[in-house]
Amino acid sequence: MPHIQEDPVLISARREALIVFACWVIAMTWSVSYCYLNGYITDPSLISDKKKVEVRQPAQPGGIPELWVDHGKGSQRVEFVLGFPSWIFWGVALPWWICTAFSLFFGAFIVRDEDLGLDPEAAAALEAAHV
Amino acid sequence: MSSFLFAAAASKPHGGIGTLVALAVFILASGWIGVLANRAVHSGSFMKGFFLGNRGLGAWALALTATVQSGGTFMGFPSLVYTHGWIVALWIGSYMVVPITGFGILGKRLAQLSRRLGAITIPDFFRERFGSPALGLLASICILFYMSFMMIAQFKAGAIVMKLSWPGTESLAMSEEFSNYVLGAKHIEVFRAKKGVKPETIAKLEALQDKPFKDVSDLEGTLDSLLTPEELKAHKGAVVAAAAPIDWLYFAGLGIFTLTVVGYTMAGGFLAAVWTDLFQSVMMFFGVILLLVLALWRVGGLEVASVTAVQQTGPGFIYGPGYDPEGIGRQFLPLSLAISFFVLWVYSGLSSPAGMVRIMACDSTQTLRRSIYLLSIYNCFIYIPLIIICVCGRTLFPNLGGHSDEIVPLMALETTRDLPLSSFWAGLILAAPFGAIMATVSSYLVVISSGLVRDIYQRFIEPNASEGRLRFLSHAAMVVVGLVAVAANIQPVKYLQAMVVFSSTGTACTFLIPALMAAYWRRASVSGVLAAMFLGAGTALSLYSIGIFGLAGILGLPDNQLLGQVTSFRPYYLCGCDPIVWGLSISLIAGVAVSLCTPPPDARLISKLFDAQPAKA
Repeated sequence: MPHIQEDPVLISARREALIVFACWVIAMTWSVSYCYLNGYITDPSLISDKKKVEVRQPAQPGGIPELWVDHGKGSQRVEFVLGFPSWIFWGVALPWWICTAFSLFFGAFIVRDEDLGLDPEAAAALEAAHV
Repeated sequence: MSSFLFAAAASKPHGGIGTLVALAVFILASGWIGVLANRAVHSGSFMKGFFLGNRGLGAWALALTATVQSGGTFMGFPSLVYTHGWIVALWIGSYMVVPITGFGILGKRLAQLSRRLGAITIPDFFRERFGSPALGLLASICILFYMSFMMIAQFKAGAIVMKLSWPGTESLAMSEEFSNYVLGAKHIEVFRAKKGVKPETIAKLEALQDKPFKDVSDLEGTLDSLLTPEELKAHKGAVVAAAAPIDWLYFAGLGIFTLTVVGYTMAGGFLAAVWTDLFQSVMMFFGVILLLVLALWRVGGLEVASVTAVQQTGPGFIYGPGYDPEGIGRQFLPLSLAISFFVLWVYSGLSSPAGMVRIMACDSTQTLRRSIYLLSIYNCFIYIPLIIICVCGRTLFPNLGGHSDEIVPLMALETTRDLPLSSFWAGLILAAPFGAIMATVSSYLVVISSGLVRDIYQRFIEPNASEGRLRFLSHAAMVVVGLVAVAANIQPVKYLQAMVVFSSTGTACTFLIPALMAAYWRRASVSGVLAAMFLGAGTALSLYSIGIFGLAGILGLPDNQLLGQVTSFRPYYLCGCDPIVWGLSISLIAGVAVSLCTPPPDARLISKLFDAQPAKA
């Protein structure tokens, strides 16, 4: 009985799909857990309480005022990175840029070019042209 | 209050003649593209050309149209950022992987199998892959159902963008009720002339004469407190209908929008939808970047905008689970929903019938690869900038209340105010939401009409229909669908963004697992795929029905009305999770279990689709 090989497009597509799936799992695990651990208020009664917000004058003249928020653990300064709240920067913005870089790498080096074949109509037209 | 706070915009800006001109240019350009597409579809058979663009999509057309925006991107999503704050970045965060999931999980196999099977539509694909007309019919019905919901909601959004670009339109509202309800003297005269209306009822109505009510619930509340139960039963509906505003600009907008989008889609079919979508996506890109620069410049930087916004709202604007403007303990994005939305956006984009059919139309794997590059970069410049723009918007327009979905158009008009040709620039930015809506409607028109003509008429009624007849029916189907959408929007439909989420969830629960089984699993059987499709769709519909009709109490389920966004078109969040999590899980279990319990599929067909084929001499 002749040995039947799997379709090469199926093999590469399955490999690429598994890599993509793993990437989604990693991105979700990192983003959701980092944001939940660093950017969530656990006491819902504080969410809309303006009294828990305090804006202090900047240490240096002309600087941006400091934002202090009491989210259940005493008043703490809100940290910003490049203008983003730090938990959004580390939990969403930076992973987004990393995923973009990975997507470029994935497209350039991991996805294999394959012949997708012809549909029956195109194949018939090609055959007719040869005849 | 700190001295650094900015003065909010003094008054709501409105469109000028330049805004209208910019939008008119945009509409004409879209029409012209439709004409070009019409010329291009004339090679090959009508069905393959009109509904699949002769499988010739290149990277730009595929990348920027298959998994990109709908009207919700520029309306619902910005409104959520304005209302709930930075947490919406996590809500939309899964778009970071959408470019690779959208093309990398199913793309290559779907493109290959659709060629081997000669499939032109998604129901075609399932029918031929499993040799089952019943499966094709179920797929057609599900597509028609979900796509209709999504498309009808978009018509309203298109009409309203047209309306607000009209010079001097004070109301920019895209929200559900955007004009005052007023009971005028002529309305009361009509009631006076009616038989059976008592004089004391007329007297009560006269007390309301010429008094503006901000929306229908405002008027209804007043009537409830003023009229007796008998009077309410007899006249409430008629009074509300009489007081409803006739919004001529809305109807004009609805007419122009419908003519434009149905017209160019009829002219060029699938290619017209794709090419205009591409053109509109490019417009969106430049519109968002321009608005980002202007917004940041206007408020003095992102950190300043955040600080000001938090001062105006509360800690929830900068922390999860998100700001609750009503102060009633609503949790916009608790942990369970954060996980759910990471599933929702990724898998709904992947299994959208409009997106899948574009992947079937791509010309090669190189195109899929390049599409990943393009879309990754494109998404980076759309979603995070939109969040930044809306955080800045909260600073400039602190009190939009129930009109938060106006934020992007308001920002466009406000930030361009001091530029030369300001209203023209604003019009170009406004073309972005308008383009997103047109693109969505156009692609759904193609999917729905192909469902009616190819999957139902040609398959079940007249398999030997001539090309001319199919062409006529395809055009007629588009006109009828457009007319139905207009009729459904004479009383504007509510809940645009909620309908987008419903439709996305429904299609994902229906098609994702069956498509994965079709592409990768030899043992998948017709019964298994039918079970996966039917139970996935059924689960999503059941949970939405429980939420919309308030059946949780009757079924003894705990109430969770304070989860997620504010809307009455909401699902029941079983264990706090969105229906997509349950729909996909049940679809997967049913698909695998039923396939394993039923006879295996035809070995010859499987070999044709899964094994290397000998090269033709």
